Amino acid sequence: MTAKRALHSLVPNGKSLGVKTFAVLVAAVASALLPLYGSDYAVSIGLLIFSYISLGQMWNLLAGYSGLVSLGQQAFIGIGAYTLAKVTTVYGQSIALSFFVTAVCAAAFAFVISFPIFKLSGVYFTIGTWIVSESALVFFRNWKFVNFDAGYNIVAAYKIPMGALYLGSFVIGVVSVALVFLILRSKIGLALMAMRDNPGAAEARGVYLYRTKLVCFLISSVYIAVTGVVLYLNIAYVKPGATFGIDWAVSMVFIVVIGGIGTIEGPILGAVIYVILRQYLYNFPGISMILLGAVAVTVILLAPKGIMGALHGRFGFELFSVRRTAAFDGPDREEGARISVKQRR
Amino acid sequence: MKKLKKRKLIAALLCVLFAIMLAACGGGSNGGDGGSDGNADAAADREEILVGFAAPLTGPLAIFMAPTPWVETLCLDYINNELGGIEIDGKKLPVRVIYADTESDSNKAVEAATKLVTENKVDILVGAWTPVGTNTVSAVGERYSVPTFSFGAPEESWLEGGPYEWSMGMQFNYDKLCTDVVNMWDKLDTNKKVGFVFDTDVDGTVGRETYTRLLEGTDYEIFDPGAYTIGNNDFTSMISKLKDAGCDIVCADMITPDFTIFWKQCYQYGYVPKVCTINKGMHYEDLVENLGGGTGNGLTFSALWDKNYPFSSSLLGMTCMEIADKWEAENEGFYPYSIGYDVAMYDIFHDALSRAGTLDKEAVRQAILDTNIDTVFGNLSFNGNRCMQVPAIGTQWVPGDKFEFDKVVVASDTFPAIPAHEPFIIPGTTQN
Repeated sequence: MTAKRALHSLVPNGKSLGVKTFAVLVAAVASALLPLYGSDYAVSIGLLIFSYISLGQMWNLLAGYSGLVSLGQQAFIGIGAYTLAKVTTVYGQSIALSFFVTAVCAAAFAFVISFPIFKLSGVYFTIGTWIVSESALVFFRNWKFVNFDAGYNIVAAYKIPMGALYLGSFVIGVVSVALVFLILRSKIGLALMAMRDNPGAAEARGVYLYRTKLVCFLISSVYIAVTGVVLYLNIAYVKPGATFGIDWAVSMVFIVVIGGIGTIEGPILGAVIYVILRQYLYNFPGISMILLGAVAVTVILLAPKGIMGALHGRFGFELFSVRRTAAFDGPDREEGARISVKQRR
Repeated sequence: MKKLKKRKLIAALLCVLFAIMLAACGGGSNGGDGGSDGNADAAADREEILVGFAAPLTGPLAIFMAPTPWVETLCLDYINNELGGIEIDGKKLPVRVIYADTESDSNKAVEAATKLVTENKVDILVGAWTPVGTNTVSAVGERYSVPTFSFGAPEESWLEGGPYEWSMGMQFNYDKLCTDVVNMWDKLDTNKKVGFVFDTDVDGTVGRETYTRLLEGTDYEIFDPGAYTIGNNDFTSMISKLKDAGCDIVCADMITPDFTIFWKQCYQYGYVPKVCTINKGMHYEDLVENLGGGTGNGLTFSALWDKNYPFSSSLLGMTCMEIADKWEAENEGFYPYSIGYDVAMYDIFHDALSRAGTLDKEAVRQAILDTNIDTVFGNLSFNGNRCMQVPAIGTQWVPGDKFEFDKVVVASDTFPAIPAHEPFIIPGTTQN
């Protein structure tokens, strides 16, 4: 699946291609240029929003599209943060190198833990992933190589201009959206959704369950680890309790559930709401978590599929269409037919 | 067709919303002073001096914030009402403190401090208590080039985040703290066998290294049964090892719940050492009282501030004793030692801002760095690491008059201006 084809199939019937593509492009360009006209505060908020969009997209890729509800993805944020700290603060190497090392470490770790945790399914998978990340937390606290629980300051990150940090976060956020979109528009995407809806039927139709899940898990884990590097370039202080904390998992779940699970726009909207809401909640020390929980409960009660899910259900509105049904009556009829034949095989 | 119209309508609505959001972002930059260059202009029509305190108002570190808001009322009332404010560019301005809760978490501390700097545009940023509160906030101060003041962490841990350009610290030196603990042991008749009880946390790790280094080549013999993980609730194997090794001295660095269990189990297993130095977990009178059965009597620790210090605040003109008594008269319970740090901070800010006479960032930073003032910690000035060293000296819990326990300084060799009493061995010791 090439990017061109993906873009073309943004809206398969081609009717409102202009307005939506234009809106997305304007939003992207305006966001990219935020450091030029926005205040320091707006830039710092934008930075958080794009990083959280990336986390949300990747968690959604697992939970929303693959049926892998993981509460352990924060382990990869921890790996990213600690790799950054070791590479820059301890070994004095470049930040660019730490991105590369992070990707390698995260892929290796994800691959190794996939053997035991993929033997679990459903709620047991969720518990399994959580145990993996909690174990990683305890291990890091007792590991001399990472200075036990003492943590590191990422001194190299102090002097990176906020504009540059923001752009890094922007790129990571936008690429995460594009990546999930492309994956879902590809053969893997179809396999994923088939697997999520009915694993037995999907397998009977020739979907390799294990391999598909593994590919998804690896992509999500490596990407979350890389996002972790970007996040900790901003935070500039790593400590096991913070980097491997369950808070990260909570925020990923919040973002996806509020925004709309199983939609690409959901995590974007969820991240915007989550970050801005948290800023207001600083005014309510002590009860901020209760208020955050109350918002989550209210949204789930009013719109069980999240805000984007509700919008889609009511008005059929979506920015990024990943469904194939429209292809059968549009110009892509042949392609649609081809895919459906492939799936049948 | 109708559905399509609605979709278009939503798309258009989202576009409008997005435009409003962007406009709001842009508006923010006009309202504030934007960067360092706009600073001087903005100061001219300033109504107040803003201090932003990224503080652990909730979470496990919240105990350090016990004096808030009592101490703010005391100091800010004095500065703003009695003195009429601080003169900035020829005009007296009041000082206001804005709090942002760090929830005792390092990630949140950075977010809170960033919010204070970028949204509230504070003139001085403050972070406090443990490296979680100081190293994080100092990093934000460096990134945004804002005068940043942090306190309440070991100097050594804080310096790991340096070298600093904009951050300044008022910290205790961990080496000196440990030196005075050993000085305290020297005054007591023991077999000089020291048993370590350290957790794997920062303080535990640094403590193990420091004591090992300090005791090397002395008569003291170290017995280390290995570190434990915070939250442990069974210390029996550790205690039996300490008992078998015949340690007269227990040197512990534990959080309160861990130590409470540890100390109870020590009594249950018939192991009461002659000396037990417990840092971090037993700094407050009510915690010692909660150990029950008077078992807190004779425990030793490193006090970070004490009402018996022979110093006074140059801002308030009150002695340490007067400040502590005022607290106890107006609040319930034993005075929290963190009052000392808070009062000293206002001593320093009032002095530095008065000398600076402007809110220009560089001038404020330089004025703070030039500080040389008498505070509730004695005379304070910065060393080459941009850090003011404050006392952390050997102290013992003894039976008190007003409350069940009182604390008494027993070893102050690193800060000799503070008078010290003789320590005693824990009553009812089973070590002979």
